[in-house]
Amino acid sequence: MGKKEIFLEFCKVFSRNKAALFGLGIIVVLLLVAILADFIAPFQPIEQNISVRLMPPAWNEKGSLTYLLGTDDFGRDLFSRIVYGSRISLSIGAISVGFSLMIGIPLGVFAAYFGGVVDNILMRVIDIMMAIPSLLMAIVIVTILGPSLQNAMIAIAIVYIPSISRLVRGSVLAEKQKEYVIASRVNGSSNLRLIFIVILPNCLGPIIVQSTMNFAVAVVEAAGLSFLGLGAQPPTPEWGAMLVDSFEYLLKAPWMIGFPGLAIFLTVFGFNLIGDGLMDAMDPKSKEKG
Amino acid sequence: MLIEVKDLAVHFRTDKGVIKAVDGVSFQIPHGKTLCLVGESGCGKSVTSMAILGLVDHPGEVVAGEIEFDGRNILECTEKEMRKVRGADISMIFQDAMTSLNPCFTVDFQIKEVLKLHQNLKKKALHAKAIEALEMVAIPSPEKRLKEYPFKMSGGMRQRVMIAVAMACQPKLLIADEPTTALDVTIQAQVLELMNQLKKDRNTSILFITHDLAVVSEMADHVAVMYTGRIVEKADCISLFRKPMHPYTEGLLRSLPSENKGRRKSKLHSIEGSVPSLSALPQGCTFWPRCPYAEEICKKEQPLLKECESGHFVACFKTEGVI
Repeated sequence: MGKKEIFLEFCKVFSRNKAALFGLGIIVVLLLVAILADFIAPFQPIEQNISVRLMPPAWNEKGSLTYLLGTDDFGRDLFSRIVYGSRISLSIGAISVGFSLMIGIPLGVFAAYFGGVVDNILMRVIDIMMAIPSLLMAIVIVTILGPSLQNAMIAIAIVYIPSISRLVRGSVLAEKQKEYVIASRVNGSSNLRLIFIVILPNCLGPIIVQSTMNFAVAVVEAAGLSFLGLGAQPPTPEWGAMLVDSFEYLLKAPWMIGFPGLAIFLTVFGFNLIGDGLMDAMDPKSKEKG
Repeated sequence: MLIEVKDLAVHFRTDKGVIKAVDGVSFQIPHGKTLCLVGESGCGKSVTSMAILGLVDHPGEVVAGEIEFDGRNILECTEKEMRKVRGADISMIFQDAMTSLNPCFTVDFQIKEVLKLHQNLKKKALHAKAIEALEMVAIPSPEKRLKEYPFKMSGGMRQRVMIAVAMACQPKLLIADEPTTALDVTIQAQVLELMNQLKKDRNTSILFITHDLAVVSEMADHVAVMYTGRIVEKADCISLFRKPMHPYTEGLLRSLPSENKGRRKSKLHSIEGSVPSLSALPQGCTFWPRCPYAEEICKKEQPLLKECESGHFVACFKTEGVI
């Protein structure tokens, strides 16, 4: 059985889970939207037109087909802003999750592999980080670094480091005991080789699942930080920042809060469904069914 | 002599105090011979083998002794030098074939890993060597098997792959830590036969660790019986089975089920009591609480390993004629 067949087997198990497929569908569409934003969006996201301020969506009798989802208080096309916003939200997720993996995986691996004092020190620091509520910690970090989208991503990444390194540490501890690791040591492998080539590939399953879930939460947290004015700054079409803008017009123009909210919801929902599906597909026991 | 272990002592520092897992063990293995290390669980067999490979982990520590392998004391080697010895000169196979192959990689990767680490080979030569290694352990259609992942294979097949990996670099010493315990009896016989064949063809020495006396009689040239971190009896295979001298060995041999001796109703013999904890060993000879011949002196002094007949070493006051 080669790599290709294993992948096909994995796809089979994954596609048995209809909810996960649905989630994958959402994310694929979102990705396409992000990539093709220049072709999909009829306007630039920051293009203002005061004459069409607060126009309702197209299906409303006061709406117009030109502005499909209506406009905001500056007369910017809401649809275009949401389309461009997908780029920002996806890159927030990717960058903060990627960054947290880059730091979290080595921390967890070294703590578990070397044990003893290294493990103790690293894990106590992680304990302290975990004791602080994540949003509070993100706020503190952004306050120190200064409010901007980039700093919000850094803050979210730092917030994730503890959970990732804990997870990695746990899986490495479990794998480390297994005989194939001793066998590889007996064959003359060095520590680094053991860690990154022998052990780590066996721990990837839970890390991938957790990262998918983290991706979803990162989008929400970034939106939250932007909502508090600590993330993306106007006029960036970030979904969370759009929610803030819409606040004063809640009664007058509910579409302004509704559509960005829906976009956030769909993204998070999609990633969570995929995460669940991956969790099932990567669990060896699930292969035996059907 | 290929390997000479002299007065090896491995201690573990724990909260409960120092545990002497291996306490003054000595043995030798000549080229192309098999030494079986026999004993109950926790008597220090596996720790001894790890010490030979320089892989005793914290909190364990080799506190005394010498291991002379191929003319040099490998206890004095640096970690880097030891990495070159492991896999190339000394290699090891394990008890549980199910977990001792990396589930993430193909057989191909795992055989070539050890070859790449120790031999500078070109791609084609590497491939040829890997195939050769699988052929050597009698795996059918090796080309096909190379591309497979371990989970597709049966236990016996995996054990063969593991032996192939261990033998790929043609080591001088193969340590086998209960390699057949997890296999069923027919596969067990095949694997043992395979090991004996390799021993003959390659002149490899084998340190065979087991608690199965039937396997010992099949494999051993020499046998060393361990109890609580010490060797209590050491002899060539035939004289040990014919004339066990230490009460513990005697008990072990009597505990074997036999088909012709006694009637069906006769109970299987067992040694009284159980193995003492290494953290609370009895004074004197550690076997006295379970020994049918124990006398006062056994509770006070520790018998030393002495040659009672030519090549037959025993650590017991009874055979010494003291009691």
